[in-house]
Amino acid sequence: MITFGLENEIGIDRDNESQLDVVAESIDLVRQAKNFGAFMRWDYHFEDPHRDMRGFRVDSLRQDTDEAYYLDQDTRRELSFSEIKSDIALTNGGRFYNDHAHPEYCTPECRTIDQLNVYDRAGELMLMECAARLSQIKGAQVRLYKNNTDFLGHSYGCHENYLMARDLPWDRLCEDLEAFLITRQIIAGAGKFATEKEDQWVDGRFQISQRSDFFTVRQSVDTMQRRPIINTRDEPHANPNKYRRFHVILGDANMSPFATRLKVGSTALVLMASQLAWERSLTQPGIQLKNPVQSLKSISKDLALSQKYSTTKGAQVSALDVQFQYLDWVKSYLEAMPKGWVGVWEDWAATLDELRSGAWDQLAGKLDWVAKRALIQGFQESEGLSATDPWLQSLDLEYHRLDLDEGLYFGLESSGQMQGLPDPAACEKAMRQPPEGVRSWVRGRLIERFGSKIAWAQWDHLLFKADSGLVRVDLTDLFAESDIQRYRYVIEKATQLADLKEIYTELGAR
Amino acid sequence: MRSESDVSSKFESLEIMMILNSNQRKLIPFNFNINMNDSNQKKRQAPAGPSSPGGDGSGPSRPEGSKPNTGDLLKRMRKVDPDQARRYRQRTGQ
Repeated sequence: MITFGLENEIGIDRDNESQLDVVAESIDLVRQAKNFGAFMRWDYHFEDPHRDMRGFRVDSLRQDTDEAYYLDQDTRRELSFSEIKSDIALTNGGRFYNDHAHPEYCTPECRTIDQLNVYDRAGELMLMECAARLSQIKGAQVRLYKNNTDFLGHSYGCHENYLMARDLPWDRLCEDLEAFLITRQIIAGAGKFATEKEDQWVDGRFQISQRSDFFTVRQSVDTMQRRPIINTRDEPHANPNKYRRFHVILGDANMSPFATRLKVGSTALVLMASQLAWERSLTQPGIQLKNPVQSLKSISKDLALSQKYSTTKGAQVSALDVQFQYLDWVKSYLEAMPKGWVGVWEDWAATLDELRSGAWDQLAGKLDWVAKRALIQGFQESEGLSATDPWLQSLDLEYHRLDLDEGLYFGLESSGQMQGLPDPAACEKAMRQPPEGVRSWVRGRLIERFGSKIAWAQWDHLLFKADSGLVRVDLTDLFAESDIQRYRYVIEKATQLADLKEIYTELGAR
Repeated sequence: MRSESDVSSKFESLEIMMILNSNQRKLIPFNFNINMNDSNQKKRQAPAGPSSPGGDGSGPSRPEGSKPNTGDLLKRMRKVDPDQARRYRQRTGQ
């Protein structure tokens, strides 16, 4: 695995405002973070979400109709496209912007799960700081929720990105991953007191995943409607001849860092094993569910984890059986992976074993869906609330509240009940400084040092306005540790843009 | 609409409970009280999976001398407006 990162779309609300314009609120919120990076300099010229991994380019996405509706509304806002997006290229190497109608924080690319959890939490702290500032301006409490639904059938995502070598054939990758992704929710689900359909609340029954209700096809390039188990968007943000960005959209937004560790860690392990198995001509995991979409939804509602699902070979397996099968398959490749991944594998193994043995008190300190269910159903029992009492959904919502003093998840943390928390000092530092040893370090440090001169920023390049003209820093192939160190040496030594000549390309005076 | 005092009185003797599964609604204390740094966690060897999915439902007992500090948590839960989610409206995202 080369690098990985997370993108979280955040829910937004404000007290005493019954008709909140969430787009305007999201724009206002994001703009409170101007001091965290370079404002309105994101380069959209090279983005192309229409390109498909299966070797073609679609003319339009299902979201385009929706986008057109918003664009029509946005025209009346008298704001430009860039002003509506209000992108901030962050000095920590990440990105913060208004995506459609949600503030979205993207972590910088990371190399380890510990690093990722630090930068995910740094984003939460940044969002909290923005909410506090905006609350002061608006004179009412702005509430932010790191979840995936409004309980009325409107879902927003937590996407994962895994940069990997492109030589592993796409079809084989999908064969290796599909059953794993369908069953992964038992360790990575955030839990939800609702069943939903698109634009529709169905009932208030608890289920394991926030997102599983919203997936209807096996593969597609779409992300807003007709969502797929495997997203086929081909946009590597790196050299397209060498790299593939595996873009996972079916996961829940996790509050628990341990759940994030399991979600991203186990997925990275399966991807690495898939790559190794292909390179060595060894066996694939060899498990395919007969009804993938139906299984995804059923597993989310099977709280006892006992239901069996048919495989294409006629076997009957539970979600746990599938996860254990992947665990065993990955084990044979562990010795070929970087050393730190053994610990991730062991945590995955221990968690699956705890699920199988019903060690719920242990699991409640790790998994969001178990912690949330324990917390809220305890309250329900005590109060004698019915399963459809709306209070349960309000408590569910407040579990995801990004507020250290009021959010229910953070209440669990502060009472010492959650495991695997990132170091608070490291998280504070990560709000402004990029991760070490990764391409994102170069991006973040250049933004910090020469932010006032930035013309455009993107994941794979930066463009500066120097006195002599435009200069471009290419990041498309910047993944080798030695190259990153060389860039670092040049950047730290430079006193002005012209000193960066060794790593940039001059594009001539404008 | 419930008043805060109603909720508060009912919470005087409440311990946060967890329900083991939908078939066996047996309560055990919400007693986990571990706060380890990510990189300092004790590494486990992969155990073999037991054959009984969901366990026997009894759960472990509370560790001696460790009562979680749930006072603040209860205060937070009491403050949640039962209608908060009803008012919450978002647009579809990605």
